[in-house]
Amino acid sequence: MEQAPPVAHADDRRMLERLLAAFEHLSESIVLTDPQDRFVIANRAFREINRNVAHAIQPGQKFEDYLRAGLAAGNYPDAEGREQEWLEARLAERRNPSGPVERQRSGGRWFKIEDRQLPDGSTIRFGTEITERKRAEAALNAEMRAALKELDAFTYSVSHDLRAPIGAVSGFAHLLRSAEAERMSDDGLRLLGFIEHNAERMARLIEGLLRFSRLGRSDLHRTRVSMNGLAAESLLDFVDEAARARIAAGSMPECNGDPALLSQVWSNLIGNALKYSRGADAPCIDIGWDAARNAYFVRDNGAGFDMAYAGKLFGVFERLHAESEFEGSGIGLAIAERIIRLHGGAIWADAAPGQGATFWFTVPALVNGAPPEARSWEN
Amino acid sequence: MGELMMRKGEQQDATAVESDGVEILLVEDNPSYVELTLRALREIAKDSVRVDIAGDGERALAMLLSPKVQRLPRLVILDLKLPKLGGLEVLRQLRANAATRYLPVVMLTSSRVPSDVAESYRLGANSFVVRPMNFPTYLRVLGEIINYWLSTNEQPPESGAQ
Repeated sequence: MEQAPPVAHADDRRMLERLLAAFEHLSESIVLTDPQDRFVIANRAFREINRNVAHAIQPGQKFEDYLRAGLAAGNYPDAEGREQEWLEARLAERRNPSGPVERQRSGGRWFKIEDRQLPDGSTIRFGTEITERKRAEAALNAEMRAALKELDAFTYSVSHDLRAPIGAVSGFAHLLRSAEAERMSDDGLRLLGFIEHNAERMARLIEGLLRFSRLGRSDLHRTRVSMNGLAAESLLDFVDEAARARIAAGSMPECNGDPALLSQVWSNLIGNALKYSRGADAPCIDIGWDAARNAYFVRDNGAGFDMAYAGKLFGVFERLHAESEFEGSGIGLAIAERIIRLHGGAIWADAAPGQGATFWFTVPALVNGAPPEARSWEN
Repeated sequence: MGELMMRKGEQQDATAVESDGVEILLVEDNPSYVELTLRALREIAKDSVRVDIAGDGERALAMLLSPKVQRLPRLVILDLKLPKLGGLEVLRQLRANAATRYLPVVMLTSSRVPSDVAESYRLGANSFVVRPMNFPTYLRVLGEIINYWLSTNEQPPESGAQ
């Protein structure tokens, strides 16, 4: 706690006037309230912004009444239709300030606001206008979204154009085999096999690309989602593989997300875990909630991978294992990453070769409430 | 060629009455797919199925709407992406013409862009089939189309019926 510098000169008053003049002319808005949260003093920038509620920012007025007056005047667009809830949230923040927040005001203006409590219990609020920055950000976001959309549209149409020729290649290879196989040499048949295999692979890649590009244009339909339920459903898709593994699922909190998309994430992660642990002596998969990381996870004891290549993990068509070892199109994790990003969350992994892998992902905006019953599957 | 007779429209005058007595008019510009589809039809068709080919939209319309046409094919398999006149425009003109208003048209295409599907049905396509990339599946799909459209004995309503 710092002591206020003592004003030791005879011209205290002059000094005070200078400080007040500086305070008054700062471009930041500043307002000081007493320990009962009543206005003490506000500088010109603050008065300017709050011209339409001038009556509510006079010394002695309660800060809460200033907020109410602003609500009545329509100063806070984000409060529209939920004024009481908004007011309570602001007052709670006021009691426990935690760093700067960005708030919108009427007329499209944005401010970065920070409250600081002083040792005597009074509060000082700083406000900086950030409207320009917000506008630039919004423009950039719109530009980025448009570019992404364009890229998705391009991927989509290209995938369609690629379907026709690869369908023809696979068709002719099929006809060649059914009509000419008896007359072909072993080497010729082997070469034909390569053609068929690659045509099939190409077809799978194109399907994957199509599914991936479709995601970019899908809207999130958020609802309250039972992650235990989704994981259990995904497991049903893998009954055969799952029968060979020991699978344990812990209790997980519900989340607020798109169930169809999140179900794909579970499916891709669980499918991967089953695939890569196939060769383990006793394949073992854990699904659950990591409270320390605030993240859902899927862990296996399979082939794992070298973390040096972790950067490639979520790229489209990137693979960390040879196709001869583990089949796949290299699109599953890219899709999972995209879905999680659409939700505003993050996905990451930890692994070591031969030691299995763990994938974590977060979905922000968890629904408050008790986690559902723990369920587990033992095979 | 016992079971399946094929005639190529390209080799003749487009206004001639090629499609008389033909079961299927295949409107397809990609020679690979012409070949594949004809071969697939040969594998599927137990009885003789006679197929005519139109290599673009204009030729298809000439073959179907010419006043010299005595008998229409029983089914048109229409690609979406065609040179000159696209498949959707061909479909629109067929539906606008009394003689071909009820002619069964199956869209067969590699595209499955939702707007193409919707537009095809809006213009009066009887079916929209995405050509599978896998040939055995293609055989099966084509087999179902043939079975459905060529096994029904229903005659289309009289020309010009409203």
